[in-house]
Amino acid sequence: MKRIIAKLDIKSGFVIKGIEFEGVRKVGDPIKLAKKYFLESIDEIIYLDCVASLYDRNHIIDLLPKVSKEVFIPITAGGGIRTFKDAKNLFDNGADKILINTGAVKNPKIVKQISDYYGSQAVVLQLDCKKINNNKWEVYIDYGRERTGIDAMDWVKKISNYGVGEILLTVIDYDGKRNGVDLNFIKKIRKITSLPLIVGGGIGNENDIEKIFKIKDINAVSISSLFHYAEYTARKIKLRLKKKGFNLRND
Amino acid sequence: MINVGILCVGPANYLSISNAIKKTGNNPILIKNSKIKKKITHLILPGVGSFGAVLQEIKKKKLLQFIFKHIKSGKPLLGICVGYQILFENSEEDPGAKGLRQFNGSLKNLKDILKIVPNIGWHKTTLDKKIVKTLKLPYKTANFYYAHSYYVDNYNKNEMKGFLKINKENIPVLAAKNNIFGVQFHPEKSGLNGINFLSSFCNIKKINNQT
Repeated sequence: MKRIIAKLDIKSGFVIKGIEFEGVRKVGDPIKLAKKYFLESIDEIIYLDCVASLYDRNHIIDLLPKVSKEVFIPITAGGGIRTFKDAKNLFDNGADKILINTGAVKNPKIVKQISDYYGSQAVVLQLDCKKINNNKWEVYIDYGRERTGIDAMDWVKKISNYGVGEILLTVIDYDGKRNGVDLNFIKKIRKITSLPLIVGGGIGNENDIEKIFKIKDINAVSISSLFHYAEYTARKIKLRLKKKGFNLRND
Repeated sequence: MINVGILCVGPANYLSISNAIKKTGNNPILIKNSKIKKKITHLILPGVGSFGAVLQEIKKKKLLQFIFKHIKSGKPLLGICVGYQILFENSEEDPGAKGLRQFNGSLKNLKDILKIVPNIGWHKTTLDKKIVKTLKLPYKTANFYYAHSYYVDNYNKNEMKGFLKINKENIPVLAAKNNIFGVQFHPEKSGLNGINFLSSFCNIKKINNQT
């Protein structure tokens, strides 16, 4: 069954969304939006505190206990995870999985520590990168603010040995534009890992999703802008994709 | 309203299960050690983490006897995810660890039968007529959320009451015998289908005629 995930980027208590990770706009309340998406049969929620590393505090911790009272689907939380304790705080407050990027790049052992305790299914690697050419993508950290010089393919091969359970792929150049994702990149990543992949960054309509789901063994997409701004609801998109023959949940 | 015990061993997401039980209109009681103050009628064994670690933690907290006593009394028990897996004999994940042996079968790595592992996501799950009747479930098939790397092999057909199909593989995901139930999926994370499942579990009465 294919999964449609709503990703909510959080900054000081609000859901925000930008283009190529910049020029962010407030789009709403994180709890109300999660509830709305849950009722529209979204399959999962990802909360990412995009400034947690700047302020040394993850604001998602405060909203997780409230969300888990009303939203009965998997909730992934991330932003500023640097230590095992940072991850534990998120799990203790109601996260089912954590999303990690910068912390993993700076110290891959953290990923192993978390997955040894919580299991690899609870660790999602957030892979943000920028395209250098048709064969090379560079990993970025700190919500697209810092480049690393690390090649995305090398990074995926390396970090897979540390107990990651899923990878969320975003090519920053495509993000927020609702113009489709970097299909070439996804196909290349699919070839080098057996982990489940979540594809995000640029989905603008159901045709974009169709192109992604047609790639063999790609079963999940992450959507932000499309739901936040557009007239589209998750249910409507799912119905349209079902008509095209894809297997989706519409409970 | 009944008191549903939730065994807090290992790193499971107790808050989610506790909130889901509240949603069914019942009262969750978190059990952290063998000094249990409130009387519980139903027990849930959640579980995230590894097969061996969860079993070790149960022993360390001296809760093994509590679980067996609960089972013997005929009160309903539900294992979820790794809490389901530990009800079987053993697992490739931790070959030295001995399961609770309530069901026949061994846990094997999904890598043997699937290309993409862990198996994360929603699956349409087909339930046996008998279990639908026993639990008075409002559905015969339902979509549930899964997140696992191991599956039950060498099982006893009579004990397995629910399956999911991935590619051509039929994977057993619901075990039931007398008052003991186990599910590989996460009912607490499976939307209203999951809440209905937990609600049905909470509505089962104590079973006295155990064989």
